[in-house]
Amino acid sequence: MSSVDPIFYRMQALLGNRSGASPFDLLIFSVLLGGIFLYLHIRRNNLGRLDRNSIPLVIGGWGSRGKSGTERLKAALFNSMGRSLLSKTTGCEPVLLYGPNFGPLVEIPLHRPYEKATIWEQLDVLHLAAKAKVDVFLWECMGLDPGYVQLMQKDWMRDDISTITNTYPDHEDIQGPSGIDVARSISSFIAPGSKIITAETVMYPLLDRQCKRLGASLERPTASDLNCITEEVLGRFPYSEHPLNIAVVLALAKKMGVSQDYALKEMADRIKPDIGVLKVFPKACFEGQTLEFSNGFSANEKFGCLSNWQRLGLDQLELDQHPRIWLTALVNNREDRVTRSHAFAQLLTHDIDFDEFYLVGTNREGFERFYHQSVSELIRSVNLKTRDQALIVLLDFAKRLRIPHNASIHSRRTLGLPETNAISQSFEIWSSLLHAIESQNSAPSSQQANRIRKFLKDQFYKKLVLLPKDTTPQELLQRICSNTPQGFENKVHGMQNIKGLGIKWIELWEELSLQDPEQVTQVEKDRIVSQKPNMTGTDKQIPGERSLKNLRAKFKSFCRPNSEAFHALKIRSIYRDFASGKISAEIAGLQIRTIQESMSG
Amino acid sequence: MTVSAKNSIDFIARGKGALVADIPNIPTHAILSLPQALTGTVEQDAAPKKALLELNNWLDKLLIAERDSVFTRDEFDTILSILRHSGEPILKQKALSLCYQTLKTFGQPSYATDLRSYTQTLMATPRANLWEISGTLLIAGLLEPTAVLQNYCAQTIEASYFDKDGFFLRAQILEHAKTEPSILQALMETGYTLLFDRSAYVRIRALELLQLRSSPEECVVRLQKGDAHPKVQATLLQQLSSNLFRNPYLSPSLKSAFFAPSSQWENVALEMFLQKFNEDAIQAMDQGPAFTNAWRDDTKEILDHIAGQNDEGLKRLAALSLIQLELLMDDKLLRKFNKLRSTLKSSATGHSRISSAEWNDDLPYLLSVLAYSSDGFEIEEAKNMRIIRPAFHFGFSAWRFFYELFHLSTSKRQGAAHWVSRKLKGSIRIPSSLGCELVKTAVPGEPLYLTEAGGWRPFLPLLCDLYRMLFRQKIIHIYTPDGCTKVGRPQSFGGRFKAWIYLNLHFDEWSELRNWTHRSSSNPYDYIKRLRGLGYQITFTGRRSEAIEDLSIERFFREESGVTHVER
Repeated sequence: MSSVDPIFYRMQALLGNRSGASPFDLLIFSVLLGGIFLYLHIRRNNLGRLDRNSIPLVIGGWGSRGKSGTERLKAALFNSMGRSLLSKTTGCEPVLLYGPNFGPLVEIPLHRPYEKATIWEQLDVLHLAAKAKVDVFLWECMGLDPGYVQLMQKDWMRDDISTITNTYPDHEDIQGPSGIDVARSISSFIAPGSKIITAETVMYPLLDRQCKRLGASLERPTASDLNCITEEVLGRFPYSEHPLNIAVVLALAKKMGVSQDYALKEMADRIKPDIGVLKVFPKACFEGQTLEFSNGFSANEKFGCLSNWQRLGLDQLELDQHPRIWLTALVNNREDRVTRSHAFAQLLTHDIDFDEFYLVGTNREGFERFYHQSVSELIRSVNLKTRDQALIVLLDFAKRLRIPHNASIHSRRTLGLPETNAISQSFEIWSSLLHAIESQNSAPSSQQANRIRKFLKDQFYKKLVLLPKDTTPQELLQRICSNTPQGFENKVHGMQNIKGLGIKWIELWEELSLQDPEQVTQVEKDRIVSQKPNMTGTDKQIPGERSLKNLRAKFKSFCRPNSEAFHALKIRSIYRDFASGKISAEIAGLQIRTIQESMSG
Repeated sequence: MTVSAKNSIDFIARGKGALVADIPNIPTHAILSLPQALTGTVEQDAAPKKALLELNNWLDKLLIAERDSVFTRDEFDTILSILRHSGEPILKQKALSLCYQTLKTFGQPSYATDLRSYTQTLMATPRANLWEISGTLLIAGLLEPTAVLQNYCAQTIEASYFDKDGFFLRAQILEHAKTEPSILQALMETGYTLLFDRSAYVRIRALELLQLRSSPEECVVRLQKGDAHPKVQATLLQQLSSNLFRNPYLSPSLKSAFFAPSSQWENVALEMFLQKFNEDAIQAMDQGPAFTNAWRDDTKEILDHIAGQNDEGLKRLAALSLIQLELLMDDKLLRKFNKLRSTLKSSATGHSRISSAEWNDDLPYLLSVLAYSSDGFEIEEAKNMRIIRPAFHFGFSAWRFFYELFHLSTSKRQGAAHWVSRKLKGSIRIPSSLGCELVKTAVPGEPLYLTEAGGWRPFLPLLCDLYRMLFRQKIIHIYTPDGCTKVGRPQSFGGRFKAWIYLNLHFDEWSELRNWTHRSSSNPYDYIKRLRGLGYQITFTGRRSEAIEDLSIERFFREESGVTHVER
């Protein structure tokens, strides 16, 4: 003790008196601090290693698209095998799926302090799985940076088997810039000597090369696996699961000695779907309009969104076959995903045809700017140099903009509508432009070309419906209904992001789908009327009320850091109790959800 | 049966650092608590669950153990107890699988009577568990006479009480038919009804059986009429592919069933057939010439038929299949191919050398078969030899540097080399058909997958390659299964410099022209036209002289083929 005392007194003097510190004091202080830091890291890593070694089977999953769906399928598969499991999956909300031996799967929310994910979370969940003594630990890799992914996979998890759903170009700002760079980044998930199952096709050579380099084995679902996933098999799932995700898990099931039929049936029966899955909700009648909503919010990159659009057959709804269908895209934009906004603005102008699109979420003005830019680029690129080319452009854009391209389609589409309606107006202008070009033998004059360009641009601009930031789902529903032409069936497809209004909108549809269509009309009408929608975006509150609201919000944000820490401690103790078996998974899930709800107010 | 010998317990036991043999032999306490697990006290009491877990592990242990004798009476009683009392489908499945394995290996032991009475009771129960019925049927295949078995099969196929899951049960019968000949026999007696089941899933599974046995005439006639479901068609065609390579004794009637309805096949089915054909062909090349001459003309006919379809993706796949067919039919060529393949395989770096004397015009096409689903190859000419190396090089490129400089953005990845692009080292390029982007990214000029083209059109030179060749190669050849694209650079230095400047300035715009689709406002010929305008000489020569002029390629190289008609 005597040797420690002088150092202790020196430290006390150093802390108490800023001018009294010598370089030696600083050295001691730095060494101590560094030592503590190093000790904590070594301890945590060692603990992680012990935890990993205590779990018999660890299966990880990564990829650009379909990670969460695949993890949930895997959880359902192992649950059907009677194995206890803990699965960490994110999807729309971070969730732990716990399945005891021969018991049903239970969802427990995964708490993230300040809603920020860190890779330390992986060790915490691994520790929880080890404490709960599960047979199987399933985890979805949420890292994007290849360095972090390698740390998680090669140092911490060392998967027995891993799945890579695909390597579609996404998150190019971190994994890109090109498609091949994204695939290279994702290939960092391959651990030496591991077993990899993938459904990737176009970048398969790259994954294959990496596996050979690391001595890992690479497997793809067989043709037979893929053929067997027919419509009736897909129909057994409570949502539209992607056949390739199912095929990946089927390949895993084969490795586990489970037959295809058993795996398919039991997965479909036991799966706990994520709120963001691709799903077509039952049609709902509202204010005399029939609406059908399909949730594609989770497909937040171009290829995924396009593939959803095609899978749902929305690309097949051409006017001559379906004149009374109104196609609506619902875009939920996010301010922290600028690249994504740009990609979706291009997608809306170049790749999909629709009648109208609603823009909600944050940074809508930014998205609108991207959309206008994209429209301008597209219109600038059209070739109007010859008569034939001008005709091709007009016919092609009539299809893209869903303008009736002949009188018969026009009359079928506008049947029962008032004489002056937007569809007829567009058709008349388009027809006059087409006739003018048809009746001449020469190339369009510059004036005509400008008129065509202006018309096309206006048509694209008219499709955009910009809604205020604080739009509620009920207000959105009412707006969509009022904009749908009378007697049309409106197919609404949600895309880009689910957070915020997206989740609330889905909850509304979940509620609608539980009720009888006849009743929905009245119930929802009442609810909307009682909520007094504010579609103009202007705040109609009186000044005193507004300042009180502001004060309350300020106070809440001031208290938030402290309450967040307090709640985090409480949630941690719930996890501890669950792992030690003091409380059941159901109770743990319920308690955490209650705390999270109280935190979000 | 549904549970194979190797299963999850392998992983679990290994993960625990234990041996499967450490699992207790017969967990008596587990058997005792088994009925309680079914009486609804599971939630309150953890003991029954623990019992189920122990039984599960024990069953797994028995399943993967290599047994040299039948079960003891105690073991059998435990298994029977599981069958009678457990509500867990996986336990029942495993127990039934065990019974089947033992009966099959050691004949009918003394306790077969108990098992038989169990199966008879179960088959008489109208609403038994789906997996239980399936497993019981398999055991009945060993214990019951043909007539009874046929009756069971018919009863199970007709069972309507499984509602939406009935198709899984029927598929299970087919699965059993693969392992148990008596069930296959019983099914054949009922006239292959499952080949024409209402469920596409069952029809697909039934088709899988075709490779094992030839089928009756009546069934063939019905097959010839075709099935509208694309996945069923695909399976039928894939079976054709497997049979082509593995079953020289296939009945002529079945063969004609495969070939006859070709005009009704959906493009998706044809695409899946070609993919399987190409996979099977590569495997067949490994195993030696199993492909019989008798199939040659029919196969060529079907491939030509597909190549003539109005689908770009199918044409590309069919071109590869045709090369592979030629290879399979020509022993000399096949030997050359296998030698080339083993040379490339044996090289650790993927590089290999071939003497110029050995080189001939066939070799690039043979390599195009190997390149199809790999990184591709490039061939460099050196003194008296050719160096073959994987085509996967990236390096500094001025156009990229300038492009990134003029397109600054905060959303670009940090710490990445934004000035690199694809590098071409050799004068012969044999590109992969894969390795492309599914959607356009911020990097221009990368190969882009185009749905309507079924790929990235490797026969069209990448702008990157054309840029690279300006000051390096005089001529480059690009070989694909369709043919050879020959590119000559601008002849004068001034012309090359001008092209260099133009490509630096317009790289993104020009590379976009390469990705022409029917939605584009440009013409397919515009890409080559502009390059020719810069002084490049680009020509395409089809590989097959007898092939009909392929407009899906020609339109990119000739102006008149690119004219689009105005349709209203």
